[in-house]
This record gives sequence, C-alpha cells and structure tokens, in this order.
Amino acid sequence: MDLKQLYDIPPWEWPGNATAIIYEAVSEPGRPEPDRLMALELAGEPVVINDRLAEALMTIIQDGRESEEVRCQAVIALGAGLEGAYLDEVDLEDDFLAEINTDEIVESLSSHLLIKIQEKLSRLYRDAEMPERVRRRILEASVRAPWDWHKNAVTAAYYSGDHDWRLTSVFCMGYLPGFNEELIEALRDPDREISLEAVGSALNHGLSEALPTFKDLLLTSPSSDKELLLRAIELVPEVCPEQAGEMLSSLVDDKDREVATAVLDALALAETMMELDDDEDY
Amino acid sequence: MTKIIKLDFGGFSLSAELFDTSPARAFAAHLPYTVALTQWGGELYGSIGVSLAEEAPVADIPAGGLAYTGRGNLFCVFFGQTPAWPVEYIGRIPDDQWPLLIDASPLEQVVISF
Repeated sequence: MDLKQLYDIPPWEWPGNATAIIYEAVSEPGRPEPDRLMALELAGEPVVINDRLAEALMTIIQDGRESEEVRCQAVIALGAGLEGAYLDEVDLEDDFLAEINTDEIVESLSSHLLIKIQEKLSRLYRDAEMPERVRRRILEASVRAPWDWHKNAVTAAYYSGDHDWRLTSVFCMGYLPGFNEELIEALRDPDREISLEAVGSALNHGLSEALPTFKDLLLTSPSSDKELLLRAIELVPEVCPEQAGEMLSSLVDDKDREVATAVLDALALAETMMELDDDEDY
Repeated sequence: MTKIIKLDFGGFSLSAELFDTSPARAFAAHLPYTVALTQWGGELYGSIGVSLAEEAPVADIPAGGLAYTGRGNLFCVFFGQTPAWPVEYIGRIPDDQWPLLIDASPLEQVVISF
C-alpha cells in the first residue's frame, strides 16, 4: 500500500504499517512537496502518531530550509497528537477512564516526548525570526496541550487587531479557561469568520450565548461567502446534532452541489452522533 | 517625581524607574504585581489583571523600556523588540541592567514591587 492509497481510505481501515509509510514520506526532504504535504496531512490522524513520527515532524518544523507550507502542515499534524497525549495524562487519573482498554489505542505520544515537544514549541514561538504563519500554527497546535505561556500569547494575539492573529486567538480560546468575556465579544464581531470561530470555542466552554449567533450565521451567510457557509454546515453536527434537520432543511436542495453535499454529510454525521449519545445513555 | 521599582525575575532582580506620568502613577498605585511572562523575541509580556487608563500610546519603545497596554492589560518589558501595537511608555530599566534579560531568557515570572 502506498501513500495515495492510504489517502483514499478512512484511517480506521488503514493497515498496521500505515505509520511506517507515512513516516517514510514525511522524513524524505527530497520527495515532491505535494507528496509530503499529503503525508503530513495523514500524519495528523491520531491513529498513527507516535514518538518517532512526532520527532520527524519536529525536525521539519525547526528546519528553516523547509517551505512555510510544509512547516505549517507539520505543526498542524502534531496538534492532534499533542491533544491526545495531554488528555491521556489528565484522564488516566480518572477512575472511570482508567478502565478503558488501552490496548485499543494504536499509537500515541509518550508523556516524556509530550513535555519535550511543548518546551520546543514554546521556544520556537518566542523566536521573532520564525515566519508569522508558522508561529500562528504553533500557537494553535500547542494550545491543545495547554501550558502557562498560552494565556498571555492568546491575549496578545486577540488584542493585536490583526485579523489572522485574532482568528488564531479565538480558536485557541476554545482550549483555555478564562476567556469567556472575549468569546462573547467575538461572537458579536462583524467579521463573520471571527464570529464563526467563536461559536466552536464558546460551545467548548458551554457558553449558550453561542447558539443564536451560530443559527444566525448559518441562515444569513451570503452565497458569496461559500467557504464560511461550508464551515458552518460542517459545525452543525458537532454543535447541535439534534437540531441539524431543522437548521439545514433550507439548504438540502441548494443549487450549489458542494453545499448540498456538505448538508447531506452533516445530516448523516448528526444522526450518527445522536445514535452514539443514545448508546451512551444506556 | 519618578519612582524606583524592583523587578524580581526569580534568579535575579533589576531596578527600574517609573516616569512621572499619569499611567505610570496608576501602575504604581496597584503595586505589587506577580506577572506570568511570555516572551516574543526581545520582549516579555504578561497580564497584570488591572485595567489602567492610557494617555499617549507610542509605537516605539527603546530597549530597557517598560510599557503598559490596555489591550489585554499587559505589562511589557522591551529589550530589542518593537511593540506589536502602540503602548504606554511608563518607565525604564537602566542601560547597564537591561542587557541581562537577553541571556537570561526564558523568564517565566516577574514580581514587581517598590
């Protein structure tokens, strides 16, 4: 099996050597960039991340000879692994979660490497020479395993007045406590990209103020703002699966095929999520 | 009249003067502060948790400069970095002391007191 074949099948159907295939593609700088970007995208799947792959991603992130695009994608790939390892650290102390059969976890980062990566990312973020786009991705990925320095960094990013940094900060607020005031403000931001990002983050903290804003965004997104509309549709199953039918009904037959397909996917996912919820209730 | 304050970074301390301006006096009125720091290049910053009025924010702060910004209520120490946005210049660390910050990084906390 090669990279392209892996790309075309869902991660839960990947063979046991998927990590090795991805690692090989990621750690060969001579490969064509599109191949490496594809490999880096796959490296972000929690089922394949392990210490060796994470070390390879860190090498790319730190290498100034790599393109910004490749470095950014390597940081993004690390994000899920960091979050998984962080949650393992936190949750395995919980009696209930400790009963989960950890044999089912295919790959994960060791706690030792988690700390090492957090320290390195913190150092890279402090480096004023680091390209801005890579720094933004570092903040977004590293905040998934929160540390003390994130609060100041996210505060400064939010108040910077720069659209991209504000977007990054609002995303990060979903992972940090203490930003409810800023999130409520961001929900009302005239910049729709910011307010949509705020919806996801606010709901992470159970802020009910986010729901009306989200519905409004979804119903009033102009057709010219297709990317935003697609992101909003994608969020529906996560945000309010039980209301997905009602919220998306007007878009089921949208003339734009991509929008209509996204709606069908969202409805299917919402249904799955509700079934999962029901199972958990039993 | 200027006021002398102490910045205790844990491993070492620096003295600094606060200017005789309205924002600097307001900053002094709430001393002491314990500030968790984050670094970006030649700049350390962290929230003081208190909102102070700004008077005349400036775009440039010389190395050794202390500043405050109402955006996030951040206290900042500059030692080579240009502010990301205009900030209130409230004081300075003497030229023979601030270079210590360059090699001392990373610094995670400062206690600011008289």
